[in-house]
Amino acid sequence: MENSTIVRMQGNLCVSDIRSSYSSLVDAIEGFPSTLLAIPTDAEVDVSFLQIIEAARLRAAEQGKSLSLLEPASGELRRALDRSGLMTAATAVDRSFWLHEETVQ
Amino acid sequence: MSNPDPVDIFRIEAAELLEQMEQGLLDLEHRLDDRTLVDAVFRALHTLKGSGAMFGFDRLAAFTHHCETAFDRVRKGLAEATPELVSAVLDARDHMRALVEDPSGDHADEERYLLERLQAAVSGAAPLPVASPADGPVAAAVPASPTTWCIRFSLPENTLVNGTNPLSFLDELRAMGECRVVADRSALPPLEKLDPTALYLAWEVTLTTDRSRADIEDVFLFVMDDMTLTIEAQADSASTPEPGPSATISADGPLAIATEPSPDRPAPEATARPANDTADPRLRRKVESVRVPAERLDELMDRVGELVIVQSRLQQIAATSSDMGLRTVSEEMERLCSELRVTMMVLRMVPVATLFDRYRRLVHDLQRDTGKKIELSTDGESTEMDKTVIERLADPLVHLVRNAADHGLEPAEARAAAGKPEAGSIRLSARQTGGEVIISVTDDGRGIDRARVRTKAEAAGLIQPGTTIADQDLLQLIFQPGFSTASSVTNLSGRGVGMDVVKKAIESLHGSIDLTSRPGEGSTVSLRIPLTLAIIDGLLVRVGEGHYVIPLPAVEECIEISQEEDLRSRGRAFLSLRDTLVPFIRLRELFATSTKPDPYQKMVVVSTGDEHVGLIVDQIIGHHQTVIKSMSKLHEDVTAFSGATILGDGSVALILDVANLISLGQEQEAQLRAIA
Repeated sequence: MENSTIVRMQGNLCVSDIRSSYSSLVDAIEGFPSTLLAIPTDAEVDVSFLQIIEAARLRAAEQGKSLSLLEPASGELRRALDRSGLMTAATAVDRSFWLHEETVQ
Repeated sequence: MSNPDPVDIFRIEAAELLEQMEQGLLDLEHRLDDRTLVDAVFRALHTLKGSGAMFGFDRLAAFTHHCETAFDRVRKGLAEATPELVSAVLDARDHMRALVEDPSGDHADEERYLLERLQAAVSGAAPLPVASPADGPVAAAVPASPTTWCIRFSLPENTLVNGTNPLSFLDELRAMGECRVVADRSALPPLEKLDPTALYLAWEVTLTTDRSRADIEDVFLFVMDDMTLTIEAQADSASTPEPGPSATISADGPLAIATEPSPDRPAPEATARPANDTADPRLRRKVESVRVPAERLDELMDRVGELVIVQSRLQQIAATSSDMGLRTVSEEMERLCSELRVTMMVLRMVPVATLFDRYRRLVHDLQRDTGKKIELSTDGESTEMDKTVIERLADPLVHLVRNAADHGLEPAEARAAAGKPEAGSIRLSARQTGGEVIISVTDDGRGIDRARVRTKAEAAGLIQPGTTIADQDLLQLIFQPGFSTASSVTNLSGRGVGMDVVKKAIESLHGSIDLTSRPGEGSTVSLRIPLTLAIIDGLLVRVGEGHYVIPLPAVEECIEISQEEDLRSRGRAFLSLRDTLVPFIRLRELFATSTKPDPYQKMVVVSTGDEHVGLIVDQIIGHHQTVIKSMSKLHEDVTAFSGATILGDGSVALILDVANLISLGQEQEAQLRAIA
């Protein structure tokens, strides 16, 4: 079994196509100890995508697996995060996941 | 079964919104200061505009925007609702319907005219006096100094699937002032249980703005009925909180005004409730309702009809079989089919209220056109009928209501002289008796002028001058083609096309029409209509080798004709029945069966109202539950039949059109009288 996989999200990451993104994500978390997500900066993002990533983070943490973004959130993903209010009260762990910010000790 | 076109779905929704708008406007006309009605009309306008834009009906959206703006001023207390405004928006509503039905049509002139009327109505609407805080909701709508609001909301799970983007609500709130948005992830299920298309996030927004509570509510206008929303003025707000109570809008009802909570304790209502909570029965009803296109109901009815036919075949086969197992299954099948048919009938039933509501607008317009004050009242709106029957009753009732307004009700001066109230009354009522519904249109007008009916009938050659004629027969003459007692032709009635059309339409529904009238007191037209047209009770008869169905409600009696009577009646068109001459038609001859008559012919006497005709058949087979199938286009000119049905053995039986056969019998009678 390989240690990690990269899930490259394709197309628009909106409710109309969300099922395929969801399936890829579930398969990756179930099948690999470590999953990296590659999200195109110009892909349209809506709340449905943010929700599956948040749920996947919880799932990975429960199973002791690793889930991270290949690149810090930028472009449309960053814009959707800010619009949704998910970053307003973000914890250090949240900021590390989404923005790759280092926790200052 | 293909998925419906989204544009068609929009058209259905638009029709409902336009209907709501019309009913709201007609109510508002009588209660101009009813804020709930103003809000309801505004919401219908707002939703129509938004949905129209979403589905590419840009002209509709642009036009509706003007009316929405006008009503927005009213709801914000900047203008009053006036009869002129209501009337202008009612007419604009008709134009919106045209824009829904024909978005690419040439509507420019009409649009210009309506917008000018709207402008005039809005200009003439005086602004409301500045309200004091004690004035309640209207006062709360007036913008105040900046207030910090705590807004919590959650949306239904199907929000995203329905094409609503919750981020756009947050953007709108941000545009109102200083805003802090925090997403609440607590309802997010585990990944494996998550439906990726559902919405689980909820939000808490702290907004400092000089905009009113109503403005904040407006952000959620499209989804207000299905969401959970609390808006509270924060007690520690640096600025003076906007006067007025906190408002909670939730899925279980309209705006509820709650007492302002104490500064250090949030109100109990502030707790967000999941939108899919179905504890409230009203919400549960909503969740359990499914919108089904009418044509799918028709398809289902067709399938049930086919099943009834197959069951009938099975019953025939079982009857000739000694296999007890087969017989048991057949009986069970018969019971299930019968239950299924009843269930199907219930599914197709809609309340008569859906029909009656249409005439409120008609009466509103008739008041304007006739200059008469008219009060419309309704009774028995919960009576249910098959949706097809209701649709086909709409036009005949328009004629009857117009006739009542134009011919029946007197002008105000004449009413005053007769000691009647200034406003004339038109009453629509419905009640069920057995398998029929009786719908009546009653007015308190002048009643039918018998002398004028007689004069017109004599002039038209319908009766001979001086003929003695029973009162009911005289009244029935107004249903003759081309008959009208109106001395002048108006655009409402009086062209002599109307009552005969009504009669034909009612007869095509296998119904009948009665008329009573008292001079000086008014008239009542009663329509007796079967509950459904899909499956009827019929009398199955044989003529030659063919089978035919006679609708049972039209059958008065069946008589056996002896060979002697048969011989005596040859060459004649009448039979004496209890000292009354009844015209008859030998169906064997009419249908050119080229068969010999059975030794003992039967006569089935059928009637519509007071007119009787005997139909001579070879054999009466008996009662038959008849699943009605339409005739093909090729046969639509065949007037003797109204449809067809399939019998248990798979053969086809034609359904006789009793009204047309009676007309034929009457014509035959008239010809023979002329020869004599």
